[in-house]
Amino acid sequence: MMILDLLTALAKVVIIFAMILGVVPVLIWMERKGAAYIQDRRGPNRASILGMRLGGIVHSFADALKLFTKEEIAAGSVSKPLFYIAPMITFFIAIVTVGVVPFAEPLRLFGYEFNLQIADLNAGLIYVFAMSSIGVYGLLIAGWAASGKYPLLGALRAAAQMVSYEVALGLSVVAIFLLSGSLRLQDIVIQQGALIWDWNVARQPVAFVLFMVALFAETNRLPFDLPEGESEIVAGYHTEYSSMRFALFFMGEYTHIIVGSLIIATLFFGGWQFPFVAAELMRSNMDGVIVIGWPAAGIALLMFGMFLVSRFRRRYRDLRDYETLLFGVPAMLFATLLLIAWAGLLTRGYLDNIPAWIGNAVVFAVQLGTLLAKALFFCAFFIWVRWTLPRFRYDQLMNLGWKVMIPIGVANVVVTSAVMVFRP
Amino acid sequence: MFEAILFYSLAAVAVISALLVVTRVNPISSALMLVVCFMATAGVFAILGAAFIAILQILLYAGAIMVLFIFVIMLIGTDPADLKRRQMTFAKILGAAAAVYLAIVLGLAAWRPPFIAAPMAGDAFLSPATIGKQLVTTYLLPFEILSVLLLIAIVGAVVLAKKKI
Amino acid sequence: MMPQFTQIDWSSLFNMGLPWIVIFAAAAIAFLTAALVEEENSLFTPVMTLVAIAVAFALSWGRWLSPLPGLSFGMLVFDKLSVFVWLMILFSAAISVLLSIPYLAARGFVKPEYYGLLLLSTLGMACLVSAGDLLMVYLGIETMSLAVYVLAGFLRYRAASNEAALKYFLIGAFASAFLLMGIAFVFGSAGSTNLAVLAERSTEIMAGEGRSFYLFGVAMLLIGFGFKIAAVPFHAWAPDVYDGAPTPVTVFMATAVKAAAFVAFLRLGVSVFSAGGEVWITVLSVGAVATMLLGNLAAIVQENIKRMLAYSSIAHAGYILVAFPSIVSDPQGAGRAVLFYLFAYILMTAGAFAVVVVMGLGKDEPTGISRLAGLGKRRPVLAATLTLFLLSLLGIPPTVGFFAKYYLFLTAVKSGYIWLVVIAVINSAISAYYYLRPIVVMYFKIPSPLVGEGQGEGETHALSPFIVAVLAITALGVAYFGIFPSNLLAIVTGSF
Repeated sequence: MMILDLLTALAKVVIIFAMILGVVPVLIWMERKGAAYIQDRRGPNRASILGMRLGGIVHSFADALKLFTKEEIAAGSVSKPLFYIAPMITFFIAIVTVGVVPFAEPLRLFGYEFNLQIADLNAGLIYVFAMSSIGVYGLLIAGWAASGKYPLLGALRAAAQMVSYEVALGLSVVAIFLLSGSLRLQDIVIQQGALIWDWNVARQPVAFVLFMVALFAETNRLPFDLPEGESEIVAGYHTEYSSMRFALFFMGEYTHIIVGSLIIATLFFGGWQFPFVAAELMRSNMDGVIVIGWPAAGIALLMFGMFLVSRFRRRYRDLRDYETLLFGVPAMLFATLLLIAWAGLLTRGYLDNIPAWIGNAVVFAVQLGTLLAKALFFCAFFIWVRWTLPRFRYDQLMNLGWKVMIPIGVANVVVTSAVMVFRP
Repeated sequence: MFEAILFYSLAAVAVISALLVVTRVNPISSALMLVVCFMATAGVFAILGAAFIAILQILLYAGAIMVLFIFVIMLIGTDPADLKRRQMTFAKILGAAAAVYLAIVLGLAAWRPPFIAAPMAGDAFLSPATIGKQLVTTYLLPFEILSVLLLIAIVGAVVLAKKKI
Repeated sequence: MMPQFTQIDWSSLFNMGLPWIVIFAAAAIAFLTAALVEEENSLFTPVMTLVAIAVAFALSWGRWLSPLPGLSFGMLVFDKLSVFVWLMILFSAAISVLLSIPYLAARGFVKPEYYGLLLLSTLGMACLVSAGDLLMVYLGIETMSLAVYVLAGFLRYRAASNEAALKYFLIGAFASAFLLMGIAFVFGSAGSTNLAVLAERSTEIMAGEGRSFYLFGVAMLLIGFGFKIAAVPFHAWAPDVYDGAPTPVTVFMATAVKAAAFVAFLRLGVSVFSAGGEVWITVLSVGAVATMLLGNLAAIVQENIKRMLAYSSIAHAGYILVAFPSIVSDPQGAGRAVLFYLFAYILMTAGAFAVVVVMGLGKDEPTGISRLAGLGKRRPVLAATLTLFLLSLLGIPPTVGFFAKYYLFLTAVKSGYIWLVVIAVINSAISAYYYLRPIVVMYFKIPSPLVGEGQGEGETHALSPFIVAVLAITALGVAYFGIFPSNLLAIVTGSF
């Protein structure tokens, strides 16, 4: 039993970390494409493997390859151990934060329970804050160890900014504690329910806005990317970094965005709750869900394939032209197979009584997908904001943090608690 | 067994990093070692079953207070060349000897095997809800006085440090 | 084990804490004034502060007169003792405020925050003297000290003031660490930080397994308190801090802070320390002797009256400590003697420092003893009051200082510490040298203009009415309770 528990824990860690790390290149691709569309251009679309460009996502892998093979440079004056450890800290802290996010309801299979959440702490949310508060060390150490003017300035900016916005971040969430009465993230998700107007974003819009803004500051993203403000201090705390150490900072930032999006989705957007369809409802009507969901998925895949095929043009006169066909035709074929299988199973009555474990698995998958979809939406939001808003000036940043957000946060807490007390 | 190994390694980390805090010449290194020490202490709390306290330890001490410490040290900017090397003085040797003596006396006084492990405080005892309730019932008055203390600290810092008050 | 929650009787807590709320409200108003009002050169804040202190005093006085035996809220204990000491603290605070008005005005550094911090400091003292729990003792000490650290460095343009604040802060933080460590060890061995529980169980703990831990914790607590009351060998900060701090703050430190710390020490002595028995008696007797000797001997060589008074305050701490070994056998007598002494000490010290404030009303602080030369001619009344205070500090019969020392030594003799009293009396004789020296200078020394003696810059000003009030009150107090000590004794007896 002990060994099994240990293996499950290990499996969870591997699955979740792999998931996060897998999303990182996608996010980089989203960032570059998003930037391109916002600036009315095409974005990366040249790199290809045997003619496959995957809409430019191959560029992410090319980048990774480039960073891996670059020379590592450490200037003579840096203090070596700290200089080397700083990017690791940044990346490590960013990724361990995900440990308390509940990705779905516990999955019950054959009498065994599998909870896709690394640690179900009763102080889960505080853990998130603790991790985000020590996340600044990576930046601080990096900036200091590089022993240069610009890195140090970047580190100082990072420290002041993150400490300041942490207060607002904490205050914004106090209202959520008050509503849910628990710090356990699973409880917060369950308590929100499946109805959109019961989600915390509807009940606590002020807290949501505060949280969102503070999160931007915590992740050092535009409009709060002063620690690396390239027009002022070169590249801030990672000026001196190159190769994979730089890449770790880079990945740390995107990991931070993903984890932050997961937290937003969990706290304010019902986590793994599928909109309007509660898990119980889905589970009790599983045959209907499968009968309707299966052909819907098939038709969607079919249409996607048709779309790809319709995009076939002889533009480059080489392998790249056939990429659409390479993906479109198999998709259409697979979709047809799916639909035929569905029709066959339906007419023979196999879909009338679904075993419970399939139902549980489907619910689990739907919940996981829901949460990831919500999180990806917020990742996209992060990118959208980055390429839309200009950077703050430093005093404006501090004013916003201390004189606007914190008072609003306090007022929100007071109002919420007053409502909680005096509500009949 | 596993717990014992974890405890002793964390305790060792805490003690060694605490020693390094006082022996490092560079203040930044000292501060970072103090952070390590806090982390190890938080780990010990977590082993004792007080996850909430452990997290608070990280959040407040490592995450907020020490960040400000390091911020200030960086802002003041000490050049490593300016730092004086440590010297042995009679007072220091005497102080160290007294500390060792006290530690030995205390250790001998406390050394009474076989040790009885204290009962673990239950999960309910250390949950955030319980701690919160204790803060507004049993410990309400200290809690309020603490807020006065913090008010004094804030006003005092402004009075002493701001250019124009 | 399920957690237990203490329920608090809110209405009676509010009733007992009303004076504190008044004080806190006044501090809040002071801070708001500082933040919102541009024109700060007004009497509004100090007068408001005085009114708040008066209101709090009146409310507390009513509580002292009421026949209630005392209320305990677990963390706080409102009994006659705490209310009485709180009254003394308010009195000292009022005196400091009165002295601060002309002092700060002369330096053009009138800031409302000053009064707010002073008030919050008294709030910390209130917690300290009413503490029913080690946790509250610690918080009270921190609240009290933190505000005083800032006040000590309030004159930011003076290097001495900055130095005083920094020294006081570092030493204070160090002392707090000892205190906290001591609390941790006491808690570890006794399983509680509640003073009532500790008083019940300390003898049992001392006999059992936890003895060494308990003793260690008590030793740490002793060190922490030793710093706070400036007992030798933890006294080294006191002269520099008393000298460098603004004089009204020095008054506050020498009177209110000291009284609060001593009373908390007394409370802890009765509940926690007395279980230590022989150990406690030995440590405290040695501490008392060392404190008296060092304070008196060092005071002799001082040329600056402020520094001299600082060392004299160390010596007086030593006198008070003479009564502490008696706690083991006669807690009531020792407590009363200490209270009597503290009350007398507040009156005399506040008065003496008021004269120092008059001397130092100029930009710099010319407080050398030689500056007093000829004061007997120029300012006969001022010189006479200073003489009265110094004689009282020395302990000449018709003043309150004499009776204070008398009761203190009487307690010690009753409990059988005759050798201690002999040393204390010898010390009093030593102190005659430095207490009489300013008197001699004032009346018999002709100021020599070459070395800038006499005519302290402040003396050219007309005496501020606030200082006159302080001098009048303290001088009357010293004289009245010197002639009718039984009145004060009755009050003290009713309090402990």
